[in-house]
Amino acid sequence: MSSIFEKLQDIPRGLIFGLVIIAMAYPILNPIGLPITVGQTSKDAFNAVDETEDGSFVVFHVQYGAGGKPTLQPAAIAVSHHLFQKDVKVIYFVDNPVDLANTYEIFDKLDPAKYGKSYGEDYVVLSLTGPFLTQAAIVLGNLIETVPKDSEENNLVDLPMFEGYTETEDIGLVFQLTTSGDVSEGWVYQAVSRYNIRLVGGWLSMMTSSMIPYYQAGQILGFIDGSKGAADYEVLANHPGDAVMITDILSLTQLIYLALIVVGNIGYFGAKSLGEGKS
Amino acid sequence: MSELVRRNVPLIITFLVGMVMVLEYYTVSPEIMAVAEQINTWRVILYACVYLGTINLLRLHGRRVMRRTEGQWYFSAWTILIIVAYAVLGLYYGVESTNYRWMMDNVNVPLGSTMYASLAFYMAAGAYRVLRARNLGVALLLASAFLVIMGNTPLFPAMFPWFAAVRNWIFDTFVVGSYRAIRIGVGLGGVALGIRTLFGLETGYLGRRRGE
Amino acid sequence: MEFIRSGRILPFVALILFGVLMWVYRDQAKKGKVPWIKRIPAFNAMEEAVGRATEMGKSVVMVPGRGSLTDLFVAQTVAGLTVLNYVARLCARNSVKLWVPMANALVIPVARENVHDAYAAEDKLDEFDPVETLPFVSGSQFAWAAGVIGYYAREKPAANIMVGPFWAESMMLAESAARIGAVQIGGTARLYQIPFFAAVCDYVIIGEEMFAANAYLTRDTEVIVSLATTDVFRLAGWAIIVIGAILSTVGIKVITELLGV
Repeated sequence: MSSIFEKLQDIPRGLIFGLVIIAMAYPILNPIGLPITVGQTSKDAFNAVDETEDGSFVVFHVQYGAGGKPTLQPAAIAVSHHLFQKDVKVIYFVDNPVDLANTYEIFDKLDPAKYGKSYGEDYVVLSLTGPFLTQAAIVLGNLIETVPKDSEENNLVDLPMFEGYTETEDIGLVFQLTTSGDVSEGWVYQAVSRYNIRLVGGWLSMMTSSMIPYYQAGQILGFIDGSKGAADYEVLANHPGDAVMITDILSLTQLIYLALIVVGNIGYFGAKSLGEGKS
Repeated sequence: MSELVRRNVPLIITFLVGMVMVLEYYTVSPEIMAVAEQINTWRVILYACVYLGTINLLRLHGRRVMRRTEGQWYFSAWTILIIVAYAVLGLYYGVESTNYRWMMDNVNVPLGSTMYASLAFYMAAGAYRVLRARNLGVALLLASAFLVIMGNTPLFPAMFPWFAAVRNWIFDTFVVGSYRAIRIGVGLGGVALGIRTLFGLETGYLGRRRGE
Repeated sequence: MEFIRSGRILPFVALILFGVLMWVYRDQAKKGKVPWIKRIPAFNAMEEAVGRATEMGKSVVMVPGRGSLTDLFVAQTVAGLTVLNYVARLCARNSVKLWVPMANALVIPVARENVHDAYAAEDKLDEFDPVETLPFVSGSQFAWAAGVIGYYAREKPAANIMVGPFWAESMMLAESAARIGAVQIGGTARLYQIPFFAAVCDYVIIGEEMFAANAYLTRDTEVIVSLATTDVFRLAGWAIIVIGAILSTVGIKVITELLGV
């Protein structure tokens, strides 16, 4: 009996990793379709985008790189579906080559032409460099003067979407998807505090606890909370995709975590009650 | 280099540059802003030091290849080959070119994603190993971790909505409260460190104690 | 004419008060009234960790984080370098192999100088090899993490000390080092990573404690007085929060307006 408790306390890492792999692989091969309840923060994010004034500009900051892509790319696609259904012009802005590739992949998956949207008339991609706060200030306050060309080397002033563009007043919303806490907070300073522009965010789940104060204060109107938030947005935008599939994976893997924790504690207390085992 | 120069010149530079940047943040003075802008511009020159990393890599791995360090030299040879290949391709085709982007998209991106994904395995192993109710503190950690994980798992709130409410309550009270406290402390600590650095009271990073 | 920027007057005044209070404490310290500070177990443990490595004949890994000297995390990087100096001195004194994986090229010269001085202070310069001791592993986050994890797996160090700014790789490093049985001391002021260090490491340095590293490790009175000043301001902040919350609740916004000056 004691050896069982010892074994429960000391499950080989290979077995743990194997269980996690199975929990991840099974829903991919055999989608389960576990239920999802859309969270309030995702609803608020959706509503904030929905309430963006027709004809205004939306600044969409894509900054999750390779690491955050599995979590936030589905959100970017869902949000882009939503934006392209509306009469708004979208300025995608990136600051590194990986996110530039991610952004073009959004268009590949989305097919803007399906919504009657075309590059240069309804959306554009800008590639900026430099410190983030400087980039944000440029995009919000001084775009045409400071950024002469887009990522495809077109002159911004020649693009139809910028005809009559009056910088800050025309921006109806900033939507950021980032894995950097400093960037997500930086947008609060630049967009909300400085220019009083509506702001919606999206980030990894572990960043939520740090960003919640801004949401509670009303500075961030809503946010996408990691993979679950991305799945919520896909459901709200009526375009279920990778994030909805990922929720099955999330549910199963977190069940595995819970089961492992329970097993570990059973092993610990069992061994302890028999007067042996690890402390 | 005399001890006077070696010890005091860095501290004087730190003080002068630091004071300009502090005054630039708080004051409205075109002269100070102009000097601060110049300092920021010159700061870019520091990025030339990025080559120090490449030189260091080539020295370290080159040494291992030349010495045929057992178990390592072939990895070092491969590292040098990859460094050179990326550098040549990037310089020849340009970093915005299709070829270079193909390499980034098909090598760097999957590797980065894979490493990030491996976090799930580390978390599983870490949670299993650490979350044992050995004492009151860990028991509380275990209980809150359990509730938060259940609240985060899409399945449970869908079946029992109160899981989400409990999770949100834990976040809104304990987590946000403690994060705010740590954040305030970090801010104050950073200010104290900054003032000490400005006035030359903090020299640990320079590798010497004052007076040594 | 406006000299101090609007919205920054109160912080400016607070900064000056901070400096003045530090000077007052400093004067008092010179007269013998040194503020008492408690020892943080994590800093005590560094000496034990190096001692353990000495007995086992294994190396010590000291990771000063992935920050730069020009980004937002410079304060944490400086704190990490301060701890590096201390650990390097301990390693030099005990002739223990030290390995410091560098992730940022800008930090390399400063870290090298730092460790060089530590070895020189212990008269062990002949044992210092800058290329092997402070190798630049990679500037890319996960390539660097993979390199460090690979070192843990190959060399199985006895102690793993991580103090500085960390990102997602913190859990990977901590768990990998735990797997090989290394004593771990983790410290960061990056809020998202503190929970991982707190859960996995044997000793943890939370947030501002790492900025006080110099004071704790050297007991330098001039540095200790800045800690005392920080505590006074923390108490003042606490009072403002409590009084401000009570007044705001009853509709008096004087504190809120004052903080916006």
